[in-house]
Amino acid sequence: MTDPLIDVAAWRERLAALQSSEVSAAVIVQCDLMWLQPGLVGLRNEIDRAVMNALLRRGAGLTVDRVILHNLPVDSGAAARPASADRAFEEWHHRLSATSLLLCASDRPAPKIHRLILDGDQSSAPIPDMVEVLDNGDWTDHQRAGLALDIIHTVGATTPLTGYDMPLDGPFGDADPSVYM
Amino acid sequence: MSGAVVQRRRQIVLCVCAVVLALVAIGYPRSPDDVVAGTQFSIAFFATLLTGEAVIFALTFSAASSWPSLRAIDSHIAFREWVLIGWFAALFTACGLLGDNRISATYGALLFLLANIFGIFSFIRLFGLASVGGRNRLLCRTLAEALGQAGAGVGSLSHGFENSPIVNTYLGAISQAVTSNDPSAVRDLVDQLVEAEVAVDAAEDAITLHIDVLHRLARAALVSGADPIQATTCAHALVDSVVRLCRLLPEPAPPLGALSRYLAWLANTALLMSVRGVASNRSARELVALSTDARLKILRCVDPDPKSATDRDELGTLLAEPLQVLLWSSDFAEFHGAHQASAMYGVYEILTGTKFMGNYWDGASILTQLRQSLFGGNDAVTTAAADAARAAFGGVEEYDHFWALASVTALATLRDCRVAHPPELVRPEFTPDHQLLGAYLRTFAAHRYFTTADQGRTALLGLLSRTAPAGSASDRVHHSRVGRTYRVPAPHVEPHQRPAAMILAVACRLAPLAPDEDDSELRGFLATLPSAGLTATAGLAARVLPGAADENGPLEAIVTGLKVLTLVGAHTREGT
Repeated sequence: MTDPLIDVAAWRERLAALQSSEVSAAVIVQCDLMWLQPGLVGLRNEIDRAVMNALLRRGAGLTVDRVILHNLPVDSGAAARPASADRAFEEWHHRLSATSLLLCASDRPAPKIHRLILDGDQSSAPIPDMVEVLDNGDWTDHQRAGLALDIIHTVGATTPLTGYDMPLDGPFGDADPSVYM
Repeated sequence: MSGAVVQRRRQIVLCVCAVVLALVAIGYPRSPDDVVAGTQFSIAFFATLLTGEAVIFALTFSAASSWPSLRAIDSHIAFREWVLIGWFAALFTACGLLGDNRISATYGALLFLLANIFGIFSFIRLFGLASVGGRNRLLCRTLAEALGQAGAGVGSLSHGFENSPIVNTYLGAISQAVTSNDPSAVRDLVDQLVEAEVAVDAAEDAITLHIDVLHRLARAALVSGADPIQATTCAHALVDSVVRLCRLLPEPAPPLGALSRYLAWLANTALLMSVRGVASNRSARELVALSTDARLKILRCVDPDPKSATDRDELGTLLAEPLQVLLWSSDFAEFHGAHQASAMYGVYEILTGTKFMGNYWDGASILTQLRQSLFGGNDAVTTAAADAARAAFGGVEEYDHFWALASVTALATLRDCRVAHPPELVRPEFTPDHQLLGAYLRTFAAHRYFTTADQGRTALLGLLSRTAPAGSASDRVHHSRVGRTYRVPAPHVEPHQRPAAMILAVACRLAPLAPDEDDSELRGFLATLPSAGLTATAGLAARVLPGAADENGPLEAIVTGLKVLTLVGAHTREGT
């Protein structure tokens, strides 16, 4: 089931365009909490996969900036949020980090993933969700892309997602199961 | 019938008797002399019973006894009710005589008679407890009631169970018996647990308690010097009991998988602790034997068509639902568990309703054949079981994804092949034999849903990035496990937490399966990986694959390590 607020066809069309050599950059914003709903897991997977596939295939010819939330809002609505949303948030970040870390190298740049920091009193991101591509030097929606790029270039508004501290080996108990004794 | 109901019924009978006696006293009041004469005999007998009970009690139970607790003994022999009747009898008699009230005095005398009759009942019940068998029966019943009450708790799986004073007291008694190395006490306590008759809603809690006790016994054998023979005898009884309880459950796979994982973990831990000199090699040997034998028992109970059956309960299968068998089989392959490759025969048969006729020792791939039987177009099997399995997977993509994730967990938890395997710990399916390791690995490696380095990279991307969609087989298996730890000490780790094993799971599907096969696709895939991932994967390969640790470069280490796959079928190749 897909959320009716998302124009799935438009997202798919723009993502498919990433394969085109005429597209040199893209900015993808997924800061709405609805992306953490179980019904949108399929589309989220599809987007993550399409972005990475395009980057792996096109290498340095494509630059992708992604904006996701750094932290979930802590306003009054947070109490009503199911715990599964918080788990999905953590898992998504982990998967994005691992994908970049294990598939991208110097000749295949990773997507730049910017984590938008929400203040304590903010209940949602100040920019709308979007997928905008730079096609032959023109953004598909210049104004919307500009909003996202402004946030990305504002010092302190976002923090990059890196996998520098990711334990690639897995838990210690895999190598030495006796630790669980 | 529960003890609380029996106790309540007994109290009602006593109240009715007291009322009837009151009516008799009102209707036929006796003279003070008659009352005094009658009461003298009654009190003498009352005192005799009381003394008798005190003597039996002192000889049978310790003052510090918590299992059985004084409360449990009291509710069984109705000591409090008995003394209370005696107190009322004395009160009415004394008041009647002092106040010259014939009815009261007569009522007191009659109550003394009731107390004596009830006292005999209490005395006989107490005598029953003086024997070990009687005590065991009481404790068995007490434990079953505690588990039943916890299981019936509203809106909680194990909350009531965690806080049950009776269960905690029982565990305390087990620990105490194990620490003091008292084999008969341990045996009695284990018998009480395995003989407890629990209802379906308490079966999961009972299984948790079984695994907890099993772990306490294993730990005592490894660390505290408890007699390993005694511990493993009890452990076998516990395993049999868990399998029996699983038959009651609508979803038997999570507890059966948990027990299978635990046993595999236990064998690995026993090996490591023995090699490090922490545990005696005798204890480790017994626990390894327990692990392999008990896992074979579980396998026979799951396999609908086992090679042989030693018991009637091993005929038929415990797991008929596709998702149940998927959950169990991925748990069964964790921690280098014994018999994991042969378990796939049963999995194939349950999922397709037909028998797999190949031999994995000769390199036959069960997962490839299963894929073909379920999603092979015209070759697909059309049985009801196959239809159910297809519905559970949804599509071939989910099939591939599910087994790839299962292989990630299996690969990540393989034994460290650099650790010397002491000869005394060699058991069937628990050996340092590279060919056996190759056969286990090949179960998954021969499931080749991609063939080129590029496709391998796409498959790795799928494993790394894809969150299980709601309702998919992976998601449903994951949700069946959530909150169900069964107190297995080794936690469930999601495959995405093991990135190096994900790479190795893809790499092994590109590795040559025969010595003369080309390894260029494997090398091509590994060469595209960033150095951090490649190094971590080489580290894993050095740990779990023989020969990999001797190589210098990470790429060579992985390629060399995966040559273990080519050993499978070597014995038949030599003859050709």
